[in-house]
Amino acid sequence: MRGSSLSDRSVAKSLEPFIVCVWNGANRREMPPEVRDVWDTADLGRMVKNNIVLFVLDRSGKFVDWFQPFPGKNPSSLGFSQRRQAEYIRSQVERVKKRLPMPRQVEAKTELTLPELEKGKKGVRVMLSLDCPRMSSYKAPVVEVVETTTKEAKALAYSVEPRTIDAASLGRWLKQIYPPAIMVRSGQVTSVSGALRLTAAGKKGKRRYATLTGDVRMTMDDGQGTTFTGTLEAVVTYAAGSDAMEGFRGVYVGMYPKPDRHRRRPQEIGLRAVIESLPK
Amino acid sequence: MTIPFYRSILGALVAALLALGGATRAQDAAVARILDKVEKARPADADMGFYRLDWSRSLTDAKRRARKEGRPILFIWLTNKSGPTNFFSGHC
Repeated sequence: MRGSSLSDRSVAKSLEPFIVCVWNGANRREMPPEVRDVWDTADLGRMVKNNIVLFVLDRSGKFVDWFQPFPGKNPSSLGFSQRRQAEYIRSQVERVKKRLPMPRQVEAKTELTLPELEKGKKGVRVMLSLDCPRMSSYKAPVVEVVETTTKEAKALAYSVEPRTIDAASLGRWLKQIYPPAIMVRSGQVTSVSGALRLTAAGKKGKRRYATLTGDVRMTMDDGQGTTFTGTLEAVVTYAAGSDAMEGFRGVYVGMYPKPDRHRRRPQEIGLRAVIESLPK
Repeated sequence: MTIPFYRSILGALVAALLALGGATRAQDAAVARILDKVEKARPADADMGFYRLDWSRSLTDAKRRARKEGRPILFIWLTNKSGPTNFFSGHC
């Protein structure tokens, strides 16, 4: 839904008057009181066909209506067609709009609302693009933010002489680079290894630079311990007179071999991640 | 023919400076090449439509804004029993 219907222009246009928010959990027991209140008010009973429900609330926060992203149990009920999924969501939104008081005219939002760190915190944003034409959910990038700790700061401190850094020291950042929807065990990265080379790369104006390059190997908790590799290339920036990292801009390019029980060969998922320090 | 001492020192100095200049150019080129690669790897605008919706961080915040701005809320609810889910970030 992220990469198909909710990224569709006609759906975005239809949703212009709406404020959008999400709750996600492992099960219904995890619902906080405010979410449970909406759920209970809607009284959906056995009408729910899958694990995604879209509730519409009015301007006072009261429940008005609900619908699901597809009419059946899964996207097959719309033939896995992105166009049909978008059209279905748009038609549902337009249907519910008729039950709402005329919302105030809202200008189309043009800027991006990306995941952010808490105010005053420093860290990185990882924007992961996935290359796999069969998965519509991969069409929207994964965007994660991670706070920087002294471990990463220490590893990336300026050095006149080239030195080697253990990729594991940036593991909290790099562990964000994995394909979603693995759906076996935790489906997350369990280990990061590799040797990265930090090399001073001159200065410009009041800033000094270093490049960080090398291969990174990661292992997934997917029941098979799938490992995948990629190359990280980054530029680290330092303020004049300071050895502490000021900025980080890098790119990781790799390939994830997703085991496919229907085929002999794994499905290859291209991974391309931009890692940038925050605040900018 | 012998090269005067001062000339050999000067030659070595010029060679070192040229090498240093070459190294600096190579370093600058490496920085520029990587930053260019970062820009090219950035997700395209066309793929970021999801993040152009008017998101609120939570239902509480959405309700506060809805009252203030006189707008309805689309509240997406989902569960995923097979693992940690973050619909907004995209990892599940």
